[in-house]
Amino acid sequence: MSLRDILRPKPPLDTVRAQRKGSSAAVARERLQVVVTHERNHRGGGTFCIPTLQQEILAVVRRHVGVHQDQVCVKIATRQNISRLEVSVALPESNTPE
Amino acid sequence: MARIIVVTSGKGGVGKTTTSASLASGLAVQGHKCAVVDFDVGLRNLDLVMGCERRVIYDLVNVINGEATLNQALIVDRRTDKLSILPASQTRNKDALTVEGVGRILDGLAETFEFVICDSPAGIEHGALMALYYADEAIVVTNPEVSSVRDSDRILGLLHSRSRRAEQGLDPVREHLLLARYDAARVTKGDMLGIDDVQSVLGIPLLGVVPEDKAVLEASNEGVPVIHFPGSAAGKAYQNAVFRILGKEAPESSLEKPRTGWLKWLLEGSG
Repeated sequence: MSLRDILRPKPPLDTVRAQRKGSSAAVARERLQVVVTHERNHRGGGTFCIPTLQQEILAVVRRHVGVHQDQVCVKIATRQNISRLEVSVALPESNTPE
Repeated sequence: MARIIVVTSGKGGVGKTTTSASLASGLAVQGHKCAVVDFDVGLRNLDLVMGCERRVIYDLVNVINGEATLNQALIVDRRTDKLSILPASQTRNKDALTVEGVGRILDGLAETFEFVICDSPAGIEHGALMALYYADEAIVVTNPEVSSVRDSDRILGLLHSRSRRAEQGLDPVREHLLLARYDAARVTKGDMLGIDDVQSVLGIPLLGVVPEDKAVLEASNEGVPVIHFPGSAAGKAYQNAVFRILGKEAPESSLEKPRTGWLKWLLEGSG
């Protein structure tokens, strides 16, 4: 496996699993977790702000490679008491280290 | 000390009134004095579900405005005299409800009743806020469907920020999830959100699971709370929820069983 494979953005695990199983319930759960987490943060109950986090991660990445706003994706999925933060950065082909 | 319980959901049509009617009836049958209050001013329906629509003389707003006493407005249930119904007004608008007025009504009810069940209107507007404001506990009725779960989460946010307990910095409102219109077969097939799926999103303890059941419509046709149909799956599920409200052990219905979700997912691995 090349480094590029490792760095290539991957769809969230739940979505992969849902697509493989053809289960619409799993898709529903994944969508709900994203939207509910987003709305909770929006109404001030969250501990941090996703858009701000996204901006700051983007700024750090940009110090090293030129990426566009749309190429950074930040998501939070909550399951029971565990929250998982997913950050995926799509690096442009020319800047990817070989 | 009376327990004030709001039955709420955000989304309409998920089963708030069905749930209020059955839980209140079940608590009364168990020997607990119970009042059930319809907060849906302008769209009263609890009276129909309870089968007392022809006995309504005064309503919640009449009592708030001092046009009737609480005792004049309360309707004693035909099936159990431990249960009384306070209907909503059909002709006023929701602004007739005030924090002070609702507070006086609930104080009055708390003197006589062990349980006060507040049947909330749909939405997150004034009527719903008035119904949840004084709650000690909340039963959040949710269908295993994305819009209902999302709206339930909005209501949980309101309970955390706009209830009396939140505003006065008291112990938070105790929240319970009541999953209604559940179809275990569809959950097994992966077509419907499972119990653990909904719980993992909302993160509140489960009070009960009411299966999709034709008896619910038949019961409302007749004006009899479905809990009075002990042979029905929904009736049994509400009976179990009543036991759990009273702190008793209730068997997990077979319909609550086929559990899917994160635990199963974890055991199966990511493949």
